Amino acid sequence: MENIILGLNLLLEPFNFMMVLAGSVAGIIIGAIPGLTGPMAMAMLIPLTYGMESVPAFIVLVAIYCGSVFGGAISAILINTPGDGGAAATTFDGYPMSQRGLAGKALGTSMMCSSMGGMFSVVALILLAPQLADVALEFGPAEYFALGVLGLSMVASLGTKSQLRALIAVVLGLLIAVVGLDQITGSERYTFGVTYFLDGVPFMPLIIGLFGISEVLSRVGGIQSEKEVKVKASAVLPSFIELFRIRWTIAKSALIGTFVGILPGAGATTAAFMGYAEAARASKHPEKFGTGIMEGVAAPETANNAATGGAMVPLLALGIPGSGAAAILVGAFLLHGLTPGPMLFIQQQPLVYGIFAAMFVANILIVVTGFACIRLFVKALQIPYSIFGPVVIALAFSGVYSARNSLMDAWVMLGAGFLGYAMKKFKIPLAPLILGVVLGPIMESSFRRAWLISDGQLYGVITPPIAMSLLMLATLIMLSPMLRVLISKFQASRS
Amino acid sequence: MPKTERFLGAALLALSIFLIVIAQEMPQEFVYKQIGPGLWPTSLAVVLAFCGVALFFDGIQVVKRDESPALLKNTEYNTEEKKEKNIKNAVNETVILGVNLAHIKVILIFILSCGLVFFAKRIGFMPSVSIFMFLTMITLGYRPYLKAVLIAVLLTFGIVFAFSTLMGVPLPEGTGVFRDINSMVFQL
Repeated sequence: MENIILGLNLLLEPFNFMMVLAGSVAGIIIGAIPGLTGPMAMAMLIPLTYGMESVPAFIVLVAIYCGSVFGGAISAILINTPGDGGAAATTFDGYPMSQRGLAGKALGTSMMCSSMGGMFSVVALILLAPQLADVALEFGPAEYFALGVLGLSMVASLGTKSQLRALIAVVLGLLIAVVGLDQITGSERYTFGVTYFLDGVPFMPLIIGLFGISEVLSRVGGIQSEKEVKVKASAVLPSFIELFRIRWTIAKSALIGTFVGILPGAGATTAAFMGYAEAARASKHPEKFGTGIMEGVAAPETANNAATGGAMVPLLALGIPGSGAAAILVGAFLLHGLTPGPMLFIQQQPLVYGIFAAMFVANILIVVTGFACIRLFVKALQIPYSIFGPVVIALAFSGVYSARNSLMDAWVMLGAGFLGYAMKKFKIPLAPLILGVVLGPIMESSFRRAWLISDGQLYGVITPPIAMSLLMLATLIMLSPMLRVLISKFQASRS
Repeated sequence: MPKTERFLGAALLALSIFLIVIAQEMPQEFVYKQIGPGLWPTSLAVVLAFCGVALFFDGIQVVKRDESPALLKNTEYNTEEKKEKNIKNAVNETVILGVNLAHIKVILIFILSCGLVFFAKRIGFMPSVSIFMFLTMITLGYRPYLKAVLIAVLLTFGIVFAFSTLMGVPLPEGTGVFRDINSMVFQL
């Protein structure tokens, strides 16, 4: 409790409060504009935070993260185009509500539910993360290796339609992480004689290219079509009675969202779809879903914001990001000379609790700023992408160059941008690649250290009880598609 | 799609073979019983090769499925749906000299971005970013030209203000006379 008060105290400092407010507003605007995403904005802002203290730097980044997940709902409701992937399910009922002249009510419901879902997940984060970090402090290399395998198996199995493509992305990420000097022997790997790559492929240019440049190229390439926006809207908050009527939908979606957020690889988008599906399943009038009802907006909006807090649990407690946005935060930790994981709770307590407090306040600010600035957000939708696109590339270039004063970093960024564009063209998801890049070195070095400790015996790497359970769980997850087919065949043969 | 899958599968297989060959130059075993630096990349490349093969055969299966008569009706329906979509994206679907306009835009934006990085070192941040922004805006269809120039210059000043003045981080200054111009702007 003292720590939480310490975190809230940090936010009372005017500069820190300004950061959470600015981050929240910027996040909502960025989330609302199709083609600009929260992870993209976070990736491009990380170099800008280099000159800041770590507390305000992370405050602004997490505020953008929370704001952007809600912001996506604005364009989903008003123009039937989700501004952020997490808002795709909001279009199902949000846009029909808008067509029936209830856009204000849909926006208000989305604000309230996003805020409540987000706050619930932050409370879960505050309760779960320190406990999990305590357990993780006991982990040795064998357990970390097993944890990495479990994380990647989940990434390859959850949240994406094609497991094969997700696996390809994971392996590509792991291979990118191999480039550079080997941590143990100092041998060069895949550097092709280029001195620049001795330190490996730099993380910041890689994520800025993958999430920033590739997004612009995809948008220009017409993968997502642009719409002319001519809408006017104001928000109408739902009454207490209306909220009371949908209390179970909100509660269930908050739980689903938080749980899904904790799982690596399944972010806000999966959470929103699962929240919506559960609300429709449990409803007495499932046929009304899709026609423009409040529950249809409340369920995905609560779940997607609840996933934000969930995704931070494995990142802060174990150092393993739960989503693409959390993986980008790994870049921020590295830039500020910090290593995410259980030691943060011992060495950087004010920062950790500052992050918790910032996320909580940012979720409250969704309602305050959302209600006050809705006209500004709608106006931002009217700025053409022919202005946003060039600005994103120019900002990405400035950010990457200024972080290390290196033009070579800018070339890597462009290369990563083209790779990201090609991956999108071939329908290969980007987030698993980033998680592979983050988890690769942890997994390899843990495996090799565990191997060393066990005197060159595989037995010693896989038999410690926790490691063994994690590896068994990972195997089960990887085999789950085959098991599902076998079970359905068995059931069919019996019937 | 099946064509794409076969192409991607073959490309991944080729890449993985290349990576496996290079990884063989790294020691697979290090000192006594210890894992060498080559084992991890070799294992990963082998997994990638399997993925490539799986994707290639998946592509072949899709072709077989598409050729089955039961699905022909569906294909016709899809074609109709695609036609509608194409009308909506008429501008992006315009074909010039056999290349899709949308693809030309992507290539142009990528070339312009490469130009930005190439010229930033020589002429510095201010001119290179302003010119880049103007050309990119025009490529993406922004008009009128004069307004585009104004917006490009103003936004570049905005970025310089945020990075150089507020955050105090370095931006490319260029060489010769451009160095003087850029330093003057950065110090404003």
